[in-house]
Amino acid sequence: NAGGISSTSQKNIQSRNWYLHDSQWVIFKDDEIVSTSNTLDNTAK
Amino acid sequence: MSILPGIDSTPTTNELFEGTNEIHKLEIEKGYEWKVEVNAESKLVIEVKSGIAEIFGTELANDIEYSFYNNKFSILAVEDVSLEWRCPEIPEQKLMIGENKTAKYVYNLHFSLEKMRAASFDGPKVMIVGGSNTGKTALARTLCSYAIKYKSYQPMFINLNPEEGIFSVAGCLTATPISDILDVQSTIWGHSMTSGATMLHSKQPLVKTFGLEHIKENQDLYLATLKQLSEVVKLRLQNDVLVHRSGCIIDTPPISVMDDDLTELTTTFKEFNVNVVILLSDEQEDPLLTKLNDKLSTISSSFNLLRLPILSGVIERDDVFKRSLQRLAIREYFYGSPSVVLSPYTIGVDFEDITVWRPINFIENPEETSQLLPTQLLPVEVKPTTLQHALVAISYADRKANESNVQLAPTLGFGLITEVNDKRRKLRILLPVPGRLPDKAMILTAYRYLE
Ligand SMILES: Nc1ncnc2c1ncn2[C@@H]1O[C@H](COP(=O)(O)OP(=O)(O)OP(=O)(O)O)[C@@H](O)[C@H]1O
Ligand SMILES: [Mg+2]
Repeated sequence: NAGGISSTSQKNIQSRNWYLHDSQWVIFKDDEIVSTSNTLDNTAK
Repeated sequence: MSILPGIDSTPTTNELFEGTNEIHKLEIEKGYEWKVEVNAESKLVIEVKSGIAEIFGTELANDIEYSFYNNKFSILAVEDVSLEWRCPEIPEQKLMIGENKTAKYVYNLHFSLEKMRAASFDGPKVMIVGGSNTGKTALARTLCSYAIKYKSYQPMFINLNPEEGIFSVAGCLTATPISDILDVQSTIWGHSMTSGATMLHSKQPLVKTFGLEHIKENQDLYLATLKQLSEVVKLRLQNDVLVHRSGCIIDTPPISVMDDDLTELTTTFKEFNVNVVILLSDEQEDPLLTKLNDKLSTISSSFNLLRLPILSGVIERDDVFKRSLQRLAIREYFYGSPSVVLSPYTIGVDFEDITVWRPINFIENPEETSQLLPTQLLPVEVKPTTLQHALVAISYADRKANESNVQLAPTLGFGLITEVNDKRRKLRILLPVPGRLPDKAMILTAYRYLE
């Protein structure tokens, strides 16, 4: 099904975001940032 | 104004020869480092098989391939390391491997910062100072990496050197909470936020546009930009307990490009409430130490000033290489990197659809002085000679906003003017984000990029 294919391929198309406005950046929580691999070594925490 | 030609992506002839891309094995003894230089046309792949190896304080995972291009960095063996590498352009006999004599000072500094973090909710504010190529940026990066390595701190990295782009293009000043691992492969330390999840954690920088390349071109504007950045950083620290406790690591421009009076440094010291100042210098009695001490003491009585030797990992860089990094930062802003491929978007607009301002450049146009405020922006006529290939900052101020509002507005992002057609009065602009051109004012930067 073509719809399914195009929606999955679209998922891979990424672009840079605009930067946040100062007022949003001030209250931004970095925990909201998701990555597909958690590379920080947590064992020592 | 500087021209930044595009990166030539044609494969090198070496790639066509069979067998040149062979895998080499390398053992690096604990405490030694391999100084690596890879140019833009070649690619170095490294895989650590055993032991602990670090690049700017970030540990390399074992059995994972890391790729590098257009980069200079040192791989430090924290434990005995054995690794495999391949790169046709690097001759095996010519590897630069030597003892690292400064790592212990960096550790000690890190541990004293840890103590300060443990002792107070108001973490250390560290300002790193020194001549060009003394390892200021490398030290800042290493301290950020160490801070997040064992504890869940989030130090704020602040880049005040407009000639370097970190998580952004050059020509701006930035502040970025380092909330997860940095990308060892990236000369700009990693990516700012993209529209989807990236493999490696991306970062959320605060970006203030200076627009010029050299501080001397408009020192007042530089200081004003610096203050705008510090105002917002202060608010973030008030709102973010973790960043507040982790503190700030501030990288500064080389001493040679700043004023003899140390105005930029005293302003930074004051604005960011700096309490730790590190001077990178090999001179035991560097007169700069006394000078810094005298100047800073008039502002605050409670700060630590210490000298560290020039980092032993430092590799000479020339202007050509620095330019190539600025170019790479622009390319990565729009197109991403091999690991995070981005799709920018080109739109066509009429001359009438854009409003562009520019900062005053007192070195290029010394006559533009007297009646004007130095921080004032001047209107730019839309025409090929002014805008062709120009990198423009897009501000949050409306397109029709007055000059002072544009100067004070946050930065939304950057656009690249790829074509200016005088006859048809049309432009083509490359935007990072698909969609319409934001109806916002633009600021012309000193940077050019030829695709
Ligand atoms: N472990 C290391 N320590 C210091 N420098 C390193 C290290 N590894 C590589 N280098 C390289 O040495 C060069 C100079 O270092 P760096 O950029 O930190 O100097 P700098 O003092 O910030 O210079 P500038 O004032 O011009 O910005 C860079 O190319 C950097 O990548
Ligand atoms: Mg630097």
